[in-house]
Amino acid sequence: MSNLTTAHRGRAWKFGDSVDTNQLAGGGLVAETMNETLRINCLRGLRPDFTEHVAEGDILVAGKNFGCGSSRQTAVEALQLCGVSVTLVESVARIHRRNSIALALPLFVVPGITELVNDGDEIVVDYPNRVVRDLTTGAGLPLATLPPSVEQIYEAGGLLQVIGARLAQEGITPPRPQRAG
Amino acid sequence: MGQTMAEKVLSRQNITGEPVHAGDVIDAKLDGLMVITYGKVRALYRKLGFPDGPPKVFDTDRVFLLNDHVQPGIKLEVAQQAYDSKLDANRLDITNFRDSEMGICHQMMLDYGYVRPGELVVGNDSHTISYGAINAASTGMGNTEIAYALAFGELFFSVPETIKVVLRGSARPYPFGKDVILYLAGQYGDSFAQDKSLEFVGSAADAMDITSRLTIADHAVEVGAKFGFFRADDKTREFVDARGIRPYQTVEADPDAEYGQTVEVDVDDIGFQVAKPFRFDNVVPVGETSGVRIDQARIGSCANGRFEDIEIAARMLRGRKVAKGVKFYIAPASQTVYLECVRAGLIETLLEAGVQVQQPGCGICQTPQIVLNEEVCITATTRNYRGRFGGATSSEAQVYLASPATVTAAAIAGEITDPSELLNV
Ligand code: SF4
Repeated sequence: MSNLTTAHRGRAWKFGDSVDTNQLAGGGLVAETMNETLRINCLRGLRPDFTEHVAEGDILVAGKNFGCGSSRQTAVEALQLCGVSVTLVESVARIHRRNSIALALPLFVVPGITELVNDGDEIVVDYPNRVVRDLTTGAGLPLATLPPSVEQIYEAGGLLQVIGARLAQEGITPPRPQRAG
Repeated sequence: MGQTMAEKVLSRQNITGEPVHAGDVIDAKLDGLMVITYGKVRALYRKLGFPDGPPKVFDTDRVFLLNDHVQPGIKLEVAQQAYDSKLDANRLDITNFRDSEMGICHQMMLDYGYVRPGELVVGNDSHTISYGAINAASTGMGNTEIAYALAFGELFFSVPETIKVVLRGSARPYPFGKDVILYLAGQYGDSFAQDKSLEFVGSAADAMDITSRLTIADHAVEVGAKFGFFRADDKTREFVDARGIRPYQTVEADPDAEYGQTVEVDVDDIGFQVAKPFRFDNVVPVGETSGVRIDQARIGSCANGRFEDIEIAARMLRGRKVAKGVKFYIAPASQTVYLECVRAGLIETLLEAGVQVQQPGCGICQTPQIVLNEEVCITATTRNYRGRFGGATSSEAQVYLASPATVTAAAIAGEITDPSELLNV
């Protein structure tokens, strides 16, 4: 899910401008675990049927200023818990962009994407070939190349993995689990 | 080529030592790191196999570990987080640690002199950007980036383009900082500074007190900005010197710095502004919302919880009462601010008028009564997004944003109204 080396194919879920992190990771319904609470509230205020029908691998399409508001990393986690594989936006709020990189959820700024894609269309996001294609209409748009430092974080599977690797380089490794007896 | 404030700070902090310009992507050394919601950062290290949390911090004096946001810890996870942070602060020798203190992290960063002009400071809350009011380059990041910064003291930055915002006029005595930033959002949209740095200059910026500058810099994130700088002047120096802050190096843009855009506003022309639900840029002059009946009013938060904000409310409420049927909540931003208000007799005035004074801190964003779908709230806090005061189940609740003066006038009238009369303009 987290790498850029394969194409992602899924149903498009389309949202408007300024979808804030309250909508992505706000409270409301309460479930047994924190993850489940996050999942069932994701985008519910804007679209009550979203969490029920979204499927693993689906693709989120949104307008301008996606992910504005609080610096909630849970906003990215909520999308991942819903199964969203890629986010395509007209523009994105900077903290949300950085959080998406840190958690290795591919996010692409694609000007014109909300014109190209209708809700429910089948789309393919093919970063290796730098293109997004709407299979329902046949239309496509180019994807921009990400900076190398960002690609490296995606390739590592997220920033947490980079932390582990850098600590190991400094000779700091996790303690071995103690054996009983 | 001349440099903007952002370019100067990022050049100073660039790991390679090279001067930078807008568009460069660099690794930069941090001057300070504010860490809140520590449980989440610690959990990331546990995921990496460190059962006791982070094995190291980059600088024991420049990590500011604060337990805020949900204090006191009446939920198990919050109490546990406070306990763990105390253990770790001890183990890692973190000198600047505040244990379960009722206050907003950003106000504590200022009260305790943790942030200095000209510095590059990062924190895991979006309103970290507010320290731009005292000339710092500060910005919010998510927990994983904070976990990275905690160990290594550096992060990647793309050097932002800068928008110069020239605030003309006197800004005295009104409108307030809130009106200015709402007006800008209304004119240019809630993402007009997406990923950019803002520099607020001009006669009105110079005339503003630090409180108004803090409101504006705090809200720079609501228009998408990465940094929101004011210039350092005598007021800045007085503010930081009063907090015993050690030597610092202010930052000033070069006269030939390159700006992506320049925006000019005469603040004397704009009057009182209100953001209607559910967006920060859904802004109209207060007159267009007059008569909207309200159920709740709030003043506080990192945007408007300072002494000067609360003083305005008290001044307007002296000898008056909160309208019947309206719940009016006010929370000072920190213990320090609370004490100032108590000493000045403001709290007594508020209580006599029927205000429900809340404990200092972020609670004003969370714990006053939920605003239901049927209800209307006007608030001098940070955001009016759907469900901000109740989550996905109250996503139709109507939340209006305005300055403390406009909020107070509404609380007295029971409906939104122009505050001019009560302010004796
Ligand atoms: S006061 Fe509100 S907006 Fe400010 S940091 Fe606290 S919770 Fe966030």
